Amino acid sequence: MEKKDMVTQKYDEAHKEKTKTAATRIPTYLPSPYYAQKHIGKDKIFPLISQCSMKLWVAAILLSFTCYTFGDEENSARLLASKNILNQYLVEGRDLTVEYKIFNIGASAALDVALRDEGFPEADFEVVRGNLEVKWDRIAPASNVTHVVVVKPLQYGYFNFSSGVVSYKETEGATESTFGYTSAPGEGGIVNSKDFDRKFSPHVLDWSVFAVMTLPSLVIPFLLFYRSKSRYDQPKPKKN
Amino acid sequence: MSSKSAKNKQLTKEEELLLQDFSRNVSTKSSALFYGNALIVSAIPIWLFWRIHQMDLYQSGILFAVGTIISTYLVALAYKNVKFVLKHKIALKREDAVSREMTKKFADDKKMTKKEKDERILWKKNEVADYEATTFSIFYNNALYLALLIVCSFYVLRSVGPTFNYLASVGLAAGLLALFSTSTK
Repeated sequence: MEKKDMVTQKYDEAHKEKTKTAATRIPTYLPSPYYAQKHIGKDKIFPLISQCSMKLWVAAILLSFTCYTFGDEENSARLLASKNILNQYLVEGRDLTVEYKIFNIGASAALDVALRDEGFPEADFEVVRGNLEVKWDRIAPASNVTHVVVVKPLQYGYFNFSSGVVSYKETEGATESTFGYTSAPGEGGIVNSKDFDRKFSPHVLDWSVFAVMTLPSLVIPFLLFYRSKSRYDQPKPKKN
Repeated sequence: MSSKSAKNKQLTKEEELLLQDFSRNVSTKSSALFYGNALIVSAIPIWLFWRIHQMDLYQSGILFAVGTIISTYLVALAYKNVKFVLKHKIALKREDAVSREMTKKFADDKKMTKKEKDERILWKKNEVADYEATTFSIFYNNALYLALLIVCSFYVLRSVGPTFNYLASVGLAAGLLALFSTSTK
């Protein structure tokens, strides 16, 4: 405690000098921020800081207390689940990858873990690969599992990507399952495939067909011209 | 009497040749060739706008038709103008070569008068110049039109909507082509 006081005292002194020099540098005509700083001074700032840190300490203690009391049992499993869309562009008719990650932050293994996502209605999405309903027998403590589903949006427009549901048994003997939700990626705009193609497709085939189409209209007249030209241009070099 | 009429006929033929040589008017045959070529080269952009700018063929059918017609007219005009300018230049260049070739050809034919020979040379010169000018004009204008179109549509008007892009780029390319063709140099 004494040590701490000494430290604060030292800091106090150092700060005092700093504020002094700062105060001498600040012209009096400067508007509010400087003015306020100058007038609050160190005496008023430091109690404020100490008050804040006090509050933080109290909050931390309260939080740990609540964690302790609301946490079911020390030996139970706790799952955190996230759902993410991995694509940068969501495009109609193109694969869209959804990744689910489940972390067990509890002290024991989670049992009969089931992940179910009903956020992809059949009218709007087609499942390309993977399942929207998965089960794991157990997820060990301090470990995680990842699940990936590839779906294909059938329509363009805005779509709200909601969260999936995770159910699991916290302990070996638990009779009831615990339910939780994954994070929700939120609303995403699915781009019209035409617009996407217009912007990003290289159109190699289309350009090559274009080249084939333009070639006769350029080559034929040129060859005809060149044939006649070479026929009548020949005598010239002889002249020179 | 008969010789006189023959003379008249010859004169008119010569006059006709001269007229043909110096006029901007083109024969029906070469006009058809010009319009046919212009139509082909004007229709090619439709492919680009259909496949790459993703325009609908049926929905924009009228637009494509109008664009193609306007561009065909302008491109054909450019063909004609360029051909007219080129024809004289080429005629001057080819004069010696053609007359040499023709005199070599008629060297054995002693029945032919000098006038007839000259006339034949003139006619051949005109034909060669016409042919070369036509083919080169088509080649040059096609290449320039396509280059202008690609630059307009994919660089200048890249961010514009496809409908306006089509009209503007086709109009600009054909318009510029027609404009360039009016230069006499």
